[in-house]
Amino acid sequence: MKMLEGRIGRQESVCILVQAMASICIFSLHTLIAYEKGNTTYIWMPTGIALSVLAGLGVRWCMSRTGAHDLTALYRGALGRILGGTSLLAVAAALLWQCASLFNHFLSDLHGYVFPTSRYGAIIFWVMLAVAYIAWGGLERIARTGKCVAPLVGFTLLITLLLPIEGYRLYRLYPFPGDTAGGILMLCLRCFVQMLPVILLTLSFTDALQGEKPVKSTIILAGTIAFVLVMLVQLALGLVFTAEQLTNMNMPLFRINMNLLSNGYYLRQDKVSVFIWLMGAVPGGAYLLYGFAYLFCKATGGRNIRPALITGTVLLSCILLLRREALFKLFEGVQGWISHYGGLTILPPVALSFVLQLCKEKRKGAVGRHDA
Amino acid sequence: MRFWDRLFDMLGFGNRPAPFELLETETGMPHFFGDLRRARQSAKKEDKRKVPDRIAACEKLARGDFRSDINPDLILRRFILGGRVNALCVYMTGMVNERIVNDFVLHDAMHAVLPEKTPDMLAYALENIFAVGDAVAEADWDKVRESVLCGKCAVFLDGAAQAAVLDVRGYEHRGVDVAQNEKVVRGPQEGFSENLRTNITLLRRLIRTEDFVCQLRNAGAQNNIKTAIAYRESIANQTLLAEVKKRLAAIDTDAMLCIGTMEQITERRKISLFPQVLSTERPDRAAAYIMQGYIVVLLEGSPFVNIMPTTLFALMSSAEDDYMRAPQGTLVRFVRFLGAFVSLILPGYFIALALHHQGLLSSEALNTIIYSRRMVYSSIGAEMVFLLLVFQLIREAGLRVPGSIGQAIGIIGGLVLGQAAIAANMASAVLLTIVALSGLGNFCIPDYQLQISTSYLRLLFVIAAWLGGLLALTVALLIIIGYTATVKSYGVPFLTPFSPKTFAKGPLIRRGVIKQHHRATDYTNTVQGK
Repeated sequence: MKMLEGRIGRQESVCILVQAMASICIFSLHTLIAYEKGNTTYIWMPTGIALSVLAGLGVRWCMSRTGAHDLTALYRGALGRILGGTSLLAVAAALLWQCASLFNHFLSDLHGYVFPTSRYGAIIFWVMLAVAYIAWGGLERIARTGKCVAPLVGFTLLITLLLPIEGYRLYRLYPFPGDTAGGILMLCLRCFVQMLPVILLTLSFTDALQGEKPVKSTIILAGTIAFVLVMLVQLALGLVFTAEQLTNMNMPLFRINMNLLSNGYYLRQDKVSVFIWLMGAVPGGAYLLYGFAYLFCKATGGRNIRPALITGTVLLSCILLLRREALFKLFEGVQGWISHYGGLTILPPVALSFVLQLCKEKRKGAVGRHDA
Repeated sequence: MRFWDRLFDMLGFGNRPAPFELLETETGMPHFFGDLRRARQSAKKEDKRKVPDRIAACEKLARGDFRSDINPDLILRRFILGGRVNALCVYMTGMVNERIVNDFVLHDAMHAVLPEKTPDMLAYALENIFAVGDAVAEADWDKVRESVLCGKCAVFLDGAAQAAVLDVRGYEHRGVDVAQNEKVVRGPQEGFSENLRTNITLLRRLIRTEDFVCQLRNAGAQNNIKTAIAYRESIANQTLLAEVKKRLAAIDTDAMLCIGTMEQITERRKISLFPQVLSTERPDRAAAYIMQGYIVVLLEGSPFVNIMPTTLFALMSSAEDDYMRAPQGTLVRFVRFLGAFVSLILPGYFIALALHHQGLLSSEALNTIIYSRRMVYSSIGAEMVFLLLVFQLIREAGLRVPGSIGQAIGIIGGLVLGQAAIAANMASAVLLTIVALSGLGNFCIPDYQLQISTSYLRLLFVIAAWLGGLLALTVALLIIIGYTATVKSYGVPFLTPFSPKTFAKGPLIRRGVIKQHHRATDYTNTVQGK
């Protein structure tokens, strides 16, 4: 089998998971929806991450109770071959969509801010080249690349958050909490549904992460780091910009220093930070792409991941191109539908597998008692 | 000649075969694409001949095998042992120490007093006559022949179906000299030489432990060169050792003249950008690695040894790091990494800013660039590529010519050519400064192979930045990081101990001298508790 899993350590797995989760939260944020009724991102986004981590730990607990080695075994054991495979395909599709959404936002902003005169296709080509190359090397390459760039990305993020510290104003968070409890809950669930496939993907790599215990600790560690990171970034954005300003702003993190540093060297160099964030987003995106191919192969019984990877890369490129060039309306429609109802394709199988596995276990226990 | 052949010949459709063509092989014409497929090495015929018990037969065999009719190196000296037994001494002149042969083999043999009755004359001669340290009886003709080719001397006695093989080697070789390519300020100055025995001695002098093993074996090439695997038996990882031995045993090549050839044959990624073993000419460095459980491979005729496994951080470290105090060592290491980073990124980054992101430069910097390039007729990307290639030219020229002239070429190339290029409007001063800085950073990299890789990677980065600005530069950097992340040296990831993290010494921060010399559980997975 050529699934290119390899073996990775805990530091690598945590890095790549944080990069994937934080990139989705920070860069593929739909500002119009997120800040429409006031800024509550620093509440619902970390809460969404925490919920997804808890759900992931629940699935992990279920797996350990039922003896399922990884997510595939859990789904297959609980839902059967066909339904389990279909559920895996749903997770795979969600991962591909997350990847497309991440790069769609990132590349649009990159095009708008840094390369306004360049062709969008050229930008897609360069970024997809890196994503495909890193994904092509398998999990080892993805995770190690992620870890190599993590210190640089972290340092840049720290500088980016520290530079405008004089401009932080608490009153910009007004009105608090900014939205109704129901509204916050809906946004929180939305973030939860976005994060869940990434956590579920990590649960599929039991062998690559060298056992069940490291998987659990990876999810907890990565979840905690992503929680803190996302909350800090969103809080910093909230302290610099009002919700009204943020509503119509693309990639607010890029513009966080602009208000403060009207002139000077920092203003000129801030575009460089976009490329450093890109360095963080690319391994994260490659992880999602690889995850799509991996789960696709697991669902369909494929033994070589490379064809699925090629398919995923082509699909991703097509989605990115279509979004920009031709079928804008259609894309918006699909995106809206997935944002609202996409979670329905993932949540029921997870819940169902929980219940069914527990029922099976109970039945086994009853038979055992009867035999005794 | 047949009619058709004659007709074709007359009309010029066919070329008359030449009496001899260099391209023709015994198996026929070469393949259309130049015989890309590697010819299988013919299996070496096993020689099962035994040493004859008559010296006439031995002489005949030796004359035949060593081609004494056209090979004047071979000495076949007949003499009479103790005035009673006919004997024959065979050796290669120039390979043996003639004084030892004359004084301790021939002289002693001729003046020996033999007992009346001796059942095994050869054993008696080995025990009582030949005053040579390494002396054994050998019955296999193949081994005797190999010994003679190695510089040993074989003595055949009439009536004995064995030969006395005496180690009287004494060929000319370069002595232990100063390490030329890995100079240090503080620390031992001597380097390995071309003699395998001397090199092993240099290691043994530094590692005085009973578990230090130096396994000698044939390198697997047809020139019968010897190789040695040196390691500490009690701590070396046995799986790693088995892998090294397996790869060495798989060597089947025509000639092995340098350890660089062996390195290429044994590594898994043949066209890798980065070396997968650490090559050093310093015995102290090799000894330090052996003490930590690494495996060192030596080759006869090569003043370098290969240390395996290796990582990027090992390639970026110098022998001197360990001889300095920890803060100094850390600082030097940090500067070295900075130099490598500047060397790799600076030219590409500058091109990206100047060509695609002028907004990132201050107006003063932009004005300086524009002013310095106002008369330069080539584009800035082409100019950078041109200057980098010129730098490579100067470097290659400086390396290949003798020492003092090489230095002069460096100075002339750097100063005069640079000034001339600016005066002729072929290059601008700003770009020249960037290239010089980048070149200087490149020389901070201690490993020569890594230096070369970096210098060509920087060219790749320049081209990427020329094409796509910072975006393409970022992508190129990511691809190189991704590539580096997958390279492995004998199963150890190239970025260890950073990724994957191990408990080995920090890649950047040097630990204090006491902790430094404590063997940690690291990626070599040495045997614990020793």
